[in-house]
Amino acid sequence: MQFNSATFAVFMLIVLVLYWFFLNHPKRLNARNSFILCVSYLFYGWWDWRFLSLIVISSGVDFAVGLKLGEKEKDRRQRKIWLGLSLLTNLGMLGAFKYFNFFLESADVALQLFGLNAFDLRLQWILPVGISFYTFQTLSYTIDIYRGQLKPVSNPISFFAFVAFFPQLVAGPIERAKLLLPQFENHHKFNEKEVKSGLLLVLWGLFKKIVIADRLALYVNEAYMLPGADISGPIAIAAVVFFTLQLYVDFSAYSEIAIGLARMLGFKLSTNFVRPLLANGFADLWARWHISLTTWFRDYIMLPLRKLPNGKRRRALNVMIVFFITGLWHGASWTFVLWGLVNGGFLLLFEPFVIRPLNQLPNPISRILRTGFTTIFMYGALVLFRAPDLDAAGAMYAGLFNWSGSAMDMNHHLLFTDSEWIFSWFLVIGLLSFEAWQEYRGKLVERFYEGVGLKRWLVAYVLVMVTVILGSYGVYVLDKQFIYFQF
Amino acid sequence: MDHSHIPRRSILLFFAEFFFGFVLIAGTIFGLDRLGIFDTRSSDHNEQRWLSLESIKDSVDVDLLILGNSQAYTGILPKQLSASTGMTSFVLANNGIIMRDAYWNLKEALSLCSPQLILIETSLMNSQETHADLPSVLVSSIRALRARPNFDRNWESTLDLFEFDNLMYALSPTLLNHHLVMDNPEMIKKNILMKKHVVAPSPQRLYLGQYAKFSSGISSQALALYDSLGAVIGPEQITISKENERYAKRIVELAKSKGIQVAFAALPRYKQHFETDLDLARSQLLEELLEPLEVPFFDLQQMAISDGPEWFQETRHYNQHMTLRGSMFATNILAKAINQEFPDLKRPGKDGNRKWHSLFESEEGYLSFFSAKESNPSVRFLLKNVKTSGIFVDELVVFKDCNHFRKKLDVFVKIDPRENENKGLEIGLVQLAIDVIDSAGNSSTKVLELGYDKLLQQDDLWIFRTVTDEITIQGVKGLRMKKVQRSGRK
Repeated sequence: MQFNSATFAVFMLIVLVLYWFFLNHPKRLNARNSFILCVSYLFYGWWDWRFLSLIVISSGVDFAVGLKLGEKEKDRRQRKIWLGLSLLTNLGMLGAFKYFNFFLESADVALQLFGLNAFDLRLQWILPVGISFYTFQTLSYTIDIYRGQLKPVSNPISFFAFVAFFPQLVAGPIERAKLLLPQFENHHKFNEKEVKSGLLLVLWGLFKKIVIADRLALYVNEAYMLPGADISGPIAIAAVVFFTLQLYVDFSAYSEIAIGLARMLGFKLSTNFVRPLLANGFADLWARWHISLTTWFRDYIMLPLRKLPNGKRRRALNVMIVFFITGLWHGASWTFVLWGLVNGGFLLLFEPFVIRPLNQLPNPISRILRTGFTTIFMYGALVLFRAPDLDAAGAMYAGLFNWSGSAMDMNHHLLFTDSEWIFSWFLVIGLLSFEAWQEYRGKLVERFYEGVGLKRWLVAYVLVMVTVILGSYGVYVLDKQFIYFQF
Repeated sequence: MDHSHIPRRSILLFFAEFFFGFVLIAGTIFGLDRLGIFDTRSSDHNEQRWLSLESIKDSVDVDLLILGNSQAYTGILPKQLSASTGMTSFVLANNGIIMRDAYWNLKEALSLCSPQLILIETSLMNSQETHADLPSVLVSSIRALRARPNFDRNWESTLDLFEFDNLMYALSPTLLNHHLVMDNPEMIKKNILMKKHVVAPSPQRLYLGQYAKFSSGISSQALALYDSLGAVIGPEQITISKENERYAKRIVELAKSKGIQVAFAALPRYKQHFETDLDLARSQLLEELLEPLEVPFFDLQQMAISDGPEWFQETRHYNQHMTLRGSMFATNILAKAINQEFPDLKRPGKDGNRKWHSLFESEEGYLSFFSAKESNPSVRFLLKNVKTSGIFVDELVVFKDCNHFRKKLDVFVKIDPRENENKGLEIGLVQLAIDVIDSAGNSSTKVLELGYDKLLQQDDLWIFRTVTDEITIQGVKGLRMKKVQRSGRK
């Protein structure tokens, strides 16, 4: 079930009615959580019910490991074994379903020495939706207990509902157990203002996804299918800019819809994006982009690495390890690995040698230069993220510098009509301007929820009608899926 | 249950507000639908058929109902089929549809007419499935649904045809065609100014669902492409989906339950359009699938008419249609097959039903099968039962097709080869010398050459015909049969 589908709209309406009218009662927490668990499994099983077994296994193992870790507070060796079981189960599933074929193909040359063919050994499995998200979420639970930062829960229903909570099950935000799990053990009072703000956030997310991201996707998909020689400078620039916006808008829209849906049920989820396109440096970028993942890597990979013998080189290596894993987390492909490493490189090289020196300049100029520099390199690196392989990425990079006459003869609108072309650029400029406005007038959102409700009504109405008329949806749009579902 | 902690009043208020918002949005979309701003019906002909079927339901008995898609409405000429079978034939087809849509078309059509025979064109039976999410199938289904007149109450078909996520596109043209804002803003401008999106066919014009538009056949350049690039239809394109198989059965069951006879017909595509022997494989597949249904199957692909390039649309698209000339030939073969397979059906045309004849006597195809009536205002007799230049001429008539927009005259010469005077006569080219008056009032002699209508292939009557610009004919000066050199190509 996709958030941007009619089926989901009906599903959510039924869930809301049952939830608020009948189930959200302080004396019926178990019933409420069982309901959340059931509808979450229904939501996930809509794609492929067989993969529900993976969520059940992951939840079951980590619930049991949590209890065991709670029992063996003093026994370090036993605790390590139990944590190992949790890691093995979750990373094992991730490895088998997501990375097995990638590692196999990467080791093809070595396998051939033994007379083996990587293709013959491939597993004909499809990637279960959301596996990278829920395995990380449930891992945070066992690791936090192991570290003594969290007490295990004794109620399996609460825990299973926490792992499978449908608003953020398939593409995050990756919630920490210590923040989300207690919410399953508390009653949520119906707060009309919160529910309405959740609904508005959902509408805003749908507007971003359907009107902006999916429109830009049409151009990006066409551009990346062109043969290398046909990619001219204007096409490449448009493809690079559009994809960056598409990726950000698509994923942030998903996060906002997830946060909005959870809010409508009385739950609070973490913020996942804070206007990353306005980042004024690479450290700032990663503090704004996919925050729930970057903080997960910080807490569960970077911090343990820092405990190892330290030094400048070691610190640089740690950064590269984290970014290598970040790339790999996104996809089982060398393009993602390279994208991760390039971003690690940016952080290590540009942050101290370019961004920090720019801080010395007077502020408006410094900010513009830092943001501009970060933007250019961030946009450029995302070619690796989008390209299906390294050759395609190379062709797109070459295209950026291809301003020859024959290449320029190509219609840089591709399949876009003039209206679509102008509208797409209007969306890009409009979104960036809106984000800049929010950045410098930070209380915009808060103020929006103050005063009379008429303006919120008006905004909701306009958002929906603009989405209906100008959205890129319908029977002719085949790819409506959120980008991060593939991870 | 203890509900004391549930603030029902505020929850109820929230949902009431939510419901009001939903109604407001739905109302706006409904309003846009009613205004027709995103309507594309003015550029499609699907609704015309239903409007025509509805408008003739009290005055015309449809005897033969043809179900199909674009293959049917370009490949079968209903007026010619009516004339040659003596049964009023109606092509109820929508572009791009498959069997499931045809089933619902039939269900709906049976409330408007009571045919004796239903003919199903088999390009409805392809590899596609309604719920496969292919835009082309979905859009065709939606068009077909929206063309059906009782759409508003036809929920049964709506729920059968569309998955829940696609239902909104079937219900609202605004949601379906909102892309026009970007793709075709001109159409939106036109729609805003347009008062009526679908204009019903003129009551003076008998419209039986034909939509023939391809006049020129496959060119020699295109033929060369077949040689260099190969065939268009491969093994994947000849398969038939389970859904199509299932709905073919449902159509037959529905028809038989109403006492209606059923036949299937495969209109041809150019032989080289298929990879080697795939046309045969497709025919065999259809035969196997249709055998358990115990209905006749007229396979025009295998009836020796698939190798004439002039009979087929010049395209390398899978869905190749017939040209107007090809469809004349195909319709004639089809008529003969129907006449042979269903000799017991009532044929008002053959039974001398006056109402039937008055309906068709001014329509295309009629004169090829029936003698012209002198009272027919569309017809002018130049000769009748006259011997001239050693030939006994049954009829020499000039026919002006009043229902056609073209300003042309059809000239027919009918010769019965069994007449004693015509013994030994060989088919050639009829040369007709006529006195005409031009628009300036000057008299002159004009010679017309009338070719033998080999498409009809009637043993008892030779028909020679030509089409000429509208002229005023004063009289006939002479008529003779000219021998023709046979060309190498058949």
